Amino acid sequence: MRTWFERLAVMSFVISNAVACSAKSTLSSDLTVGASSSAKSAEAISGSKQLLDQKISKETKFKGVQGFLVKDSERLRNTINECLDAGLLSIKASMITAAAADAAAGRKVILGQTFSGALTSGKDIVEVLAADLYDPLLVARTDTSAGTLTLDYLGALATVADVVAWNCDFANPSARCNCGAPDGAKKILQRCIPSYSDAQIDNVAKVFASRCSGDLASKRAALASFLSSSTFAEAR
Amino acid sequence: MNQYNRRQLLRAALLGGLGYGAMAGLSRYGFTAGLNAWYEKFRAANPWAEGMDAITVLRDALNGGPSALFVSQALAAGASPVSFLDIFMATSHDPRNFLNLTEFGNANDPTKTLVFPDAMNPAVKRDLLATHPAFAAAKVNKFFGDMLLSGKYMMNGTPTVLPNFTGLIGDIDPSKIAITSFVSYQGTGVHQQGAIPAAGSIAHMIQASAQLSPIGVAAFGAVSVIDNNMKSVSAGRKSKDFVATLDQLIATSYVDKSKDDGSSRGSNKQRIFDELNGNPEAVALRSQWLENLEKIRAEVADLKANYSSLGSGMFNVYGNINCDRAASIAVAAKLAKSGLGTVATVGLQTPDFHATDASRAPSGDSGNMVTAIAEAALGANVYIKSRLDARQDGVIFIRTCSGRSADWVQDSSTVSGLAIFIKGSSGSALSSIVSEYYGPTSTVLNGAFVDASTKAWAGGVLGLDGGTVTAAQVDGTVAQAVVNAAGRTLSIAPQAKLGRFKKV
Repeated sequence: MRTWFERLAVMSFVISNAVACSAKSTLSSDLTVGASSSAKSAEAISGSKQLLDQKISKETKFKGVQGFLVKDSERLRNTINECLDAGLLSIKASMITAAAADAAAGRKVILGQTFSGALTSGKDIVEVLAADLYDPLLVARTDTSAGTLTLDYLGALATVADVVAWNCDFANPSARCNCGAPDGAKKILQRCIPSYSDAQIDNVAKVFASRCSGDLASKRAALASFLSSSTFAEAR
Repeated sequence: MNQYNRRQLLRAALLGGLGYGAMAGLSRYGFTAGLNAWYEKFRAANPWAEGMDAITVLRDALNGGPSALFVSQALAAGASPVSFLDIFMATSHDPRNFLNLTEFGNANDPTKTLVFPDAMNPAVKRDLLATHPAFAAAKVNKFFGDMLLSGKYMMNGTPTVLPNFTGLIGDIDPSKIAITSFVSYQGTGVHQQGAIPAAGSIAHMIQASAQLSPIGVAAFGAVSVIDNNMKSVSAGRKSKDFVATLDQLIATSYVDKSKDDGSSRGSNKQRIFDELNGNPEAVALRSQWLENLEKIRAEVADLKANYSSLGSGMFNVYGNINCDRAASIAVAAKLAKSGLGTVATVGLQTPDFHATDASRAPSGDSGNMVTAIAEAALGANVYIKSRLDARQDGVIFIRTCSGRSADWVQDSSTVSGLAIFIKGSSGSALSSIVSEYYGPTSTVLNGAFVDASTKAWAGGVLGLDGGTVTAAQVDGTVAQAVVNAAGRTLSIAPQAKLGRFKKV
């Protein structure tokens, strides 16, 4: 039997979900009505959507997405090591070379020179960016906003994703990070975001696999796009 | 105490301190969410905290560094985010003598005690000046003030404009500058004390405030640059390098940074993954991130077109100076105007002018004390004009490690700072904050270089023109004053003793 604390907690969870659902359904109904109404009402609805967008934008801009808990740096590292391959987080010298040389070689520079002071070959990118990825040791001492999806987190996660995509051996069909391998995309999703159902994953996996079927750059882009997503970032 | 007991103790403490509702929330959402809720309440009760991470500020203060809270107040006060520009001039010795060394002093010295022919060997001038008392501070103040307010420097009474800055500069109405104030602080190193964070410099405060920016920091020169994650991460660069770096960082990535067209399988490859978790705010945050990148892309394109070739200034017969640093300030002004960069630092490192360097002529990147002052004033003019045009507030800190010294070849251990508060928006909060900490709001631009012995060396830059002198000083360091501000606002004991402001 639940204590009344737990019941209260459940109630507040239900209420908060209801509020969230209400916001979603309002937006949804606005859009639905807008599609079948006059230009004037569509205009008003469009304004309403804009207002909602502005509200979301204003609120999320400063404080991030409240209640959306992300993986801290340790968990992020462990997840990547376990659901993809170990060693993918290691920085390579070729990632931090000058732009001109890379462009001449037909490559993309992932990290850019700005990081050169902090990055050296062989270093772990998650470790370098830990402060932006909620280093649990740091968070425990000082930061009450830990775990919230923020612009900083998204930016840091994108860099991590770039490093992983660069390091992944797409030529190896048995590499766990190889989204271009048969069923590779779906398996990656199943391993990396296991809390989602097969039905939820199937739809996205098809797109993922399609994007990962091109050349090396496309494969890297496909993998990096998934790893830098809020869905992968979420701690659940 | 076993784990169960610890949990019970914690629960009891929470119940006693926060009540059942809070306990229930914490049980469900965890401590992070609970503390976030506390922070939200804190922020609701303190409107100035909007847009800032109070904990970051506290952490900074508790770590012994100056808190950015003062800056944060100003940030929160305006209708638009306040932009900051920190100019650090690592010059040494007395700039007044350099003004005399160039023809400014020669042509404008009211006492005519030293009249040098233009053709006189600079080394001879140097020797003559070395035995001559320093000229009135008002002279350098006037030089600085004229250039600050007009963007032009006076050469033998003739206003001169650096060609590449035409269109960027303009006459500034001093009444639109809320107030200026002087602070004088000393450390252990004449050149470094204003720049080393451990010394408690304004630069550190600026650096800390970078974390408060919703999109990051644009910083140039001596401190740092914006990075791919929109944070300050590395040593500064010249403006042209900075622009190139921005371009590189934005363009090169496997993560799709194309603009989000709003559809799941549209232009941005991440959206379909972001949508999987079903949180519309997460998707919105991604869009925000992409929009910021779009803005930066557009600005970089413009910067590449307009600021890659830098201004070149001719300083009389002494040669040309590459005005890269002033161009950096112009870049900062542009980013600030578009809301992309809220904090910038520019370092104006000039050669160390000891006696043997006194006759150094400006050439290319090498300037002298006069050119550094000129660039700072020119850049400040561009920045102020930009803030006023955008109807936004702004703050400029201009610091120099040069102070007055009796013997101009000797170092002075003083760092002088000039704070200029630009009142560009219609809001009144910035003025009130300035007034609280710096005394009554003045409409007169005041200023002078300050030294350790006389504290306020103030005549005011408009002193020669009959302007009112209201320069203030602080007994102590800027860091102390800032930390104190944090203490007062948060009702915690300041980490440093308050510096006392007083009129001089």
